[in-house]
Amino acid sequence: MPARTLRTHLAALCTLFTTALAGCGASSSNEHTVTILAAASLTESITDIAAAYEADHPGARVRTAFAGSQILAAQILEGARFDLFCSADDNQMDRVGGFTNAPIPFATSRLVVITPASTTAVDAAGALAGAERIALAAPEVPAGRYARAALEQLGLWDAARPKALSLEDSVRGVLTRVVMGEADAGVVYATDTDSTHAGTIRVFELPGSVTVRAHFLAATGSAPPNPAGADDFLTYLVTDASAQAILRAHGFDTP
Amino acid sequence: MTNTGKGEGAAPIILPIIAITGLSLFLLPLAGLALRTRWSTAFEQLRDPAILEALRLSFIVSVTAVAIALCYGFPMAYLLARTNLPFRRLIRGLALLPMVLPPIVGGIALLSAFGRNGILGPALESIGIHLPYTTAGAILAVTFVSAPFMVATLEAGLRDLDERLESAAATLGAPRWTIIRRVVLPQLAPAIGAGIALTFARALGEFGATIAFAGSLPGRTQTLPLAIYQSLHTNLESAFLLSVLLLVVSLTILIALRARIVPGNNQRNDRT
Amino acid sequence: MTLRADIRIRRDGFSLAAMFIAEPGEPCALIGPNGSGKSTVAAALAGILRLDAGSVQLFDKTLDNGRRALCPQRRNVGVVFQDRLLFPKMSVRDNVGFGLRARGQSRHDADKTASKWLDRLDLTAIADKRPPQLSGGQAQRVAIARALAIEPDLLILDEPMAALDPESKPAVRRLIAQALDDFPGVSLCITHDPVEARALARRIAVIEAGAIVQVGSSAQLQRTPRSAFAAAFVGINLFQGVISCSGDKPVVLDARRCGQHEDAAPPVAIRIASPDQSIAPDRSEVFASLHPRAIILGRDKPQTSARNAHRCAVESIDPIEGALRVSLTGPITLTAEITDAARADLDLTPGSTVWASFKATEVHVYRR
Repeated sequence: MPARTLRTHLAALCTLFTTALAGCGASSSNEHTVTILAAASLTESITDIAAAYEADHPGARVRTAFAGSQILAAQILEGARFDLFCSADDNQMDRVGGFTNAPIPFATSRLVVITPASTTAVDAAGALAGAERIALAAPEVPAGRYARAALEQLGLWDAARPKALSLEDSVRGVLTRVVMGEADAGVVYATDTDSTHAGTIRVFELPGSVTVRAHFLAATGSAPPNPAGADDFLTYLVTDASAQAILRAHGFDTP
Repeated sequence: MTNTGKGEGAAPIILPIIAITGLSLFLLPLAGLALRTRWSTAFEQLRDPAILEALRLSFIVSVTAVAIALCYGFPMAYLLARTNLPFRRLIRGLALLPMVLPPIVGGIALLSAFGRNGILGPALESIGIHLPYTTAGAILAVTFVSAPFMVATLEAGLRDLDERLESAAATLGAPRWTIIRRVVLPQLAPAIGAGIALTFARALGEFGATIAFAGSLPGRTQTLPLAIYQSLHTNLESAFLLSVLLLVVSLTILIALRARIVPGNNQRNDRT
Repeated sequence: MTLRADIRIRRDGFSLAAMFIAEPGEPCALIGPNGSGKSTVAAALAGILRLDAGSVQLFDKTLDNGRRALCPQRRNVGVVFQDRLLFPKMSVRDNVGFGLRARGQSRHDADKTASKWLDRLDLTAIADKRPPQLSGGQAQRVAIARALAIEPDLLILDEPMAALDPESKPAVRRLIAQALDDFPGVSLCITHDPVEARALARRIAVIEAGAIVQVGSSAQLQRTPRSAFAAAFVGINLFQGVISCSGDKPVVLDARRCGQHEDAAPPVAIRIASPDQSIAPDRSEVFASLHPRAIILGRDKPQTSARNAHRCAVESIDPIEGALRVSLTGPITLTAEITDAARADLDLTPGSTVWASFKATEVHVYRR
């Protein structure tokens, strides 16, 4: 049989098997659960929004998974079942175009440079210049793309890249390296630098000349396990006042 | 001979059924791997400098790890198998601990010891030794998880030997080191070979400790498994190709080891 | 170059206290039943085991004084092990030269000396072979050459022919006897085979249950064995008991067969000739030995000058070289030796009843 059909069959077999295993664990049927795959940087905000959604919609349950957008996109391509996908850039959203409905932008964020609290730098450029080891995300990670674009706008990329410690697979990986003190500087979203890390890092805003912004998009799956729930949650995310308030409270800008 | 029922004569039919079912669970993924790889573009893909870099790095890191494991593993195995050191059980447990430790835990443990804010990290940095996020760090992470395999294999090999031969050598006047060099090591050659193969296989496949302690930077710390992880999210074709590559290497090692992994196939020395 | 050994070791509930002296040029044998401590003695002399107490001295060197012991490397003791223990990954030549090279000799010098020994033991043809390729007899010779090559002060052979098949034994035995004759140091051969002991040693020490019970030449052992094992070793009937006298009349002895359990059979009276002066009459503990050939078997109660006669049952008949050993049970347990022809004449089979008689003068009585 042609390779494609064989591949499809094998994929179907594996998905069947995995779903069967997954299904064993699920207590209630999929009709009342909304499954959300969201970029790592949305961890706290989507978690809070999900809680608000459950409060507003009795009987509904929201399940979330957070990882670098490229990881989630790859999972979707390989057959992961989901109701809503929230990506940190359009690149990864485009990758899964065949599996999602039209994406809707719902938030943006600035980029910042962070350093361990012990730094002697006075501004972002100084922090990057003085850093021996810089934490960056891999180029396919949205945070990595944005970081490169931003630093190129500042003319600092060529100097910074060779000092890369490691290419992380998510923006939170970058954050961890700086929080642990393993990196002298890193580029993350402003929304990642909330109160939980207040004492351990210092945040430096990028100069106004930097126009790069992170654009967060959400899209429902084209074959979701819970179509009604998918649409409901997306609507909630994009239009509901409390959802918007939560996003802003975490530092996102809403359109 | 008639099959008189359960337990007598031929094995019950349920056994082959279980075996085939279980085996297909393991074989299907491997078959899928071979089938999904785009063989037509394989050679071009393999010429990609990023892939060659990962191959080169994996090779250097694994071979170095095996060498270190040998230098550390033999004295350790000898200590455990041939001396009356106190707390031997405890020492053996500690030496073999990385074998059962989840690799990512190993990586985090290494960070807590050698990281910038770790126990020894600052001291090492002050004398110019940088371990985390360097190739040396990758080697350390890989050695940490794979060296126990060397210790275990060599200790088992030593215990298999007839210690009386070493007594005989002693009565002939050979000092301890000569006994090791001329009597023990030549007999230990098969175990050393098996230890090298197992350690190398483990080293080559190491992921969790490496990514936690050494990070993933192409050319410096991104070994094959880490490269596969990254391409899994970006370039699936590449991921399949590299996976098949690692699979072939693993199979080769397994074939080389077949004589020792299956119990009873062990070739004992002829004793006269 | 005398070896003075006072070996006291306690291991796994087994207690060994063996004291003996061996002189160079007089090959010794250590014999005893299994588990009596022979191999422990060998290990202690070689330095593989350390003494708990006592001492081992070889000439002026103290090998072990219970507190400090020389490691095997420094003892210059050559051991031919029961299992040979040849190094499997080395050629025969390298095996023989191992001890020399281990002591620092160059490969060239070691090979030269090794070749000399290979020649002496007729091993030159197989010098480049490896131990797994050798026959039992060849391997044994290599083991001997290896031990002799280092010119040891003390040579220990631990059951040197135990692993050989019967065809190879005579040739190897001759070879070992020759080597021991030429050997200038002290040699000790551990064996459980009487033929081997007689062929290879001039002095025999008998060890039983961890203690040396008798030392003497083969002839002495034959004449006055002092334990059941020694008696069995030399093939002699041995009894122990007390002499009882009645005035000037020939004396009678309440005897039990040595080694037999007290409850197995009641004591039997053996008529003996007057013992020599050294043995005090009346209630002194003595040994009485009787050679199997001195026993006469017959179908009917003998009317002869033999004053000892008993009706026994034949338990078994075992062939030995050139004769038959007949085991008898009954009021007295005996081993008699007769010819094949005699057996046929008497039509003896296990279970037959037979009269066993022997003269009082054939019983050799000696002090315990």
